Amino acid sequence: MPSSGSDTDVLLERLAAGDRQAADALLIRHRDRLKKMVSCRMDPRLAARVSPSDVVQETMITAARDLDSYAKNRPMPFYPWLRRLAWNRLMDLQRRHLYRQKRAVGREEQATPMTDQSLFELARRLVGHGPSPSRAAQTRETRERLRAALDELEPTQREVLLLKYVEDMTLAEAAAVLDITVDAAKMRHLRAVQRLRTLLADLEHD
Amino acid sequence: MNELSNIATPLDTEAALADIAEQMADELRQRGTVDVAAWQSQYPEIASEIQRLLPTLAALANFSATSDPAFAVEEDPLPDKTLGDFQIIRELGRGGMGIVYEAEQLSLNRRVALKILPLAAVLDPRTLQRFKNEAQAAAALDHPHIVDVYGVGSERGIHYYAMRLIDGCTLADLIFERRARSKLTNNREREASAEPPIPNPKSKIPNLKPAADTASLALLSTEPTRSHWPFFRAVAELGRHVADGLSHAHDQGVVHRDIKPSNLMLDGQGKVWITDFGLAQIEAGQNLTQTGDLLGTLRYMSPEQTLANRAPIDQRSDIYSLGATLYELLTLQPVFADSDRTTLLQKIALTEPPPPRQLNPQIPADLETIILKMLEKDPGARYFSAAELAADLQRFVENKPITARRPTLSQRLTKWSVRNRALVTISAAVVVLIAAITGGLLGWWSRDSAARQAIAERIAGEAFAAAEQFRQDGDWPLARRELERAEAALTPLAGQTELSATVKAAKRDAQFVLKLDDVRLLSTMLAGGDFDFRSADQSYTAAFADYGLLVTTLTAAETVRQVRDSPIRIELASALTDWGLVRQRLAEPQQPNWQHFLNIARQIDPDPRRNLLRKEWRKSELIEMAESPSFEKQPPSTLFLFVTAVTFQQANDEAMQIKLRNLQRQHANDFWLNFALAQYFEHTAPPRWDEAVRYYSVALGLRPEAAAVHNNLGAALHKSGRRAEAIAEYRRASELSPKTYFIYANLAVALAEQGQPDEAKIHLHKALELGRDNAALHEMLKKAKTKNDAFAELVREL
Repeated sequence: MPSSGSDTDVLLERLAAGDRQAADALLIRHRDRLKKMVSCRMDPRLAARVSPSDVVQETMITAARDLDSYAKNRPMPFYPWLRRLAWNRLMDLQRRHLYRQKRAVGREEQATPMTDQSLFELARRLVGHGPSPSRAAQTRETRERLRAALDELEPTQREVLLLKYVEDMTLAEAAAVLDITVDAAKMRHLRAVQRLRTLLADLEHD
Repeated sequence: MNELSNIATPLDTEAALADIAEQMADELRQRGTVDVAAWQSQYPEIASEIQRLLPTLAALANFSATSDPAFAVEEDPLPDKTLGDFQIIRELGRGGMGIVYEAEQLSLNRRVALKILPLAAVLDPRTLQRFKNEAQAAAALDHPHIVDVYGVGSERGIHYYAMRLIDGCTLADLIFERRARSKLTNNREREASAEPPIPNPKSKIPNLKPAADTASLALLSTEPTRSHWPFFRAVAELGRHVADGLSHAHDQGVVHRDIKPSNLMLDGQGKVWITDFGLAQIEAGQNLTQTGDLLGTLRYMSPEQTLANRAPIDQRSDIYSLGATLYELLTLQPVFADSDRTTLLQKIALTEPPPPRQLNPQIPADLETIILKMLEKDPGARYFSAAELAADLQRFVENKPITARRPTLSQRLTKWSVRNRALVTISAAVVVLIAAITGGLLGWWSRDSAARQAIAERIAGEAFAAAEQFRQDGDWPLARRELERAEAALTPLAGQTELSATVKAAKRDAQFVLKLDDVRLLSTMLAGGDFDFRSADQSYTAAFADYGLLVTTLTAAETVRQVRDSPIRIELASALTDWGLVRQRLAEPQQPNWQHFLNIARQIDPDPRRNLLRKEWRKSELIEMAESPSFEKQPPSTLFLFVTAVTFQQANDEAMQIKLRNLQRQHANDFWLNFALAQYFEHTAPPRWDEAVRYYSVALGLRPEAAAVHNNLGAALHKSGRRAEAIAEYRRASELSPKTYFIYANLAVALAEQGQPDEAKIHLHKALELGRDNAALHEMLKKAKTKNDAFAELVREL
């Protein structure tokens, strides 16, 4: 579940008051979530060389170092902050490992890469994975359809769904990650859901 | 269902739907269902749209994030199996103190045990340094019963500790095995069977090959069957070896601090080794009430270790822990078996351990006496040194009379009361933890009311002493907390004692000081670009009246007489000074005028420097004062006044700014000084918003709950263009102080500028509702209207 709630706040306050133990608790609290994010966002080609745990571990160390100044200013909610550190690290690695040679001048990688894996993950989640054997074949079909529908979504809409439903963020957190207002995040979410609905309906009729 | 209905206008339908979509998604995620009809009846105009969203939202919500095996987190901090000079071979175990690997040290071609420290160690540079120092000291130890420390280091941000690899098991494994076997034996006896015990193939216990000097230790892993004596002697022998090792370490000034079964290893020859010297330092900083697997460590901690972090820990603490370890080895029961942390702490601090012979009558009385002496609550009643202990164990092994004597009942009672008195003087802060457990303690402790009273008074006395300490450091929130504890301890006692009266008065004073702090913070809160002195004046009047001090109606002399001897007279003087400054700045003058307050302040706090600052300042005097020798060494209360003075006098040349920055470095932990400095830098020409942000942030670190600081930090951030961060601070301020109108006003301005007029409007209404009669607010709005920005538009719409 999204866990940027009051417990995190309490820990941050304890940290700001000098309680070192709180720092550890804070990081551990969000580690699994972070790992999930890294796992499903990591380019499979990179995953062959670097383990998601490495990225998380390095993020933890950076976070531990910067935590004090974060806790004093709290420029954004905690998890989005932590995630941003991980994200930067991830982008760093992808750049170094994957874009080194083939990147042409002036060509930027997509701001928020949507890897096959993350797309697949989202699709898998959307159909759920209930243990009903009779539905297995149907499920595969549904998943393919969803996958196709997601492919059709605009990247920004897909991103908000990914943040909310794969990374378990609240829309407030997603807003902080996307650097838009909460209202805008809510609107984007609504639009994505509406668009997805239309796309799924179209696919069904085809 | 939510507050949307208050703001929904036709224009907002889409926004409302966006909001509903989120809330429905969350409901679906949390409860698996959503009450669509309720939403539809609340928003009939978009009922069909809500209905159409449902299937897609349900599909989206239909998964459980936590139960997803694809993301089961396995943590391997060393995925590539090397760390500097070390090649990892296999994992030996993991625990609260990190993971232990068997590794090969490549340069020296030797096997080592490599311990990877947990993240906590990396987090605090001071703990890390302390750990390194201790580990260096431990590395210098050279003793046949101490595991050699090869070195400590760090590689890629991972801190490690390399030591000799012992091929064997820990005493914890041994106890576990023995416990399992003893159960088995008991069952067998019940079944009247005489079969030999079946060897356990999974046993971690090595095959003991008795060496000459340790022959008897082999008996440790055997069952004490017909003849028990060799087993008990083996335990004593083991204890003696550990005590020898400890004695060597203590002589070098190294205390282990974490002696427990899992830190004592037996090698293949049955020789015992003390391991993990220096590592307890990492745990020392940790809070005992935290979760984690500290319980295993806690069980063997000495009473003085469990009391608080600041307790003086010496060699006698290790003696206690060794006692607890031997106790468990003998009886197969921990001294206190409780698995509830609080109960365990209570018992370690206050309960006498059940005598081992009650659990196993075979245990020799002398051995029991030795163990109980090691387990004395009062370090002074234990063996003074590990060498002394080793000698007594040796006497036991040789069947000679031991020196330890079992105290008689009357001695125990005397010791108890002496301990009570002694502890108060050892360290006041030490017993904070005990105070925290008062409630359960009193129920649990004997029904003897005299004993109960003694304990309650001791706890209260210690909390009171701690409060005094905090008070002297200016940490009033903590002082109040301690006094509340003291009061809680005394409450169940009948009648009013001198102590309870003192505690009560002190608590009232602490509450008053904190209240005055609140008011002062209020008077320093920026409302828009201005201060609200009228509210502050009213709050001061009310607070002093509440306390029973009618400053505005009594003459100065009468007031002085009332508080001249008060323990908080410095704080009162400080508040009265501030009140005077507030009065001086009121738009409509009030009687008595500001000089009345400063006059009282001067008399109850006759400090010459502060009194120099309690008049109309002249800039030249202030500069002169700043130049005086030892200026920075003045107490924070003086420096605070000084900073206030230079702020009002606009003494803000470069030299003064440098001076003040130095001042902050000297007193980085003083809340009010940091706060005053932030305000100073808001008023320099030009204002230094970045510095204000910095000092407010420090102040916030010291008092995270201070709404005014959040508000002012918000204002400073806002002014330096960091609007999103400012909004976050304002929001926090409004949460902490939901009735303060100008926080909402500030929030409204920032939100309007941020392009969120709808939310801004809500907060503006809130501000108006709370500050309806407030002149400062209307002034602010009047000014705003004349401008040409987003907020002005909002105000004009009102």
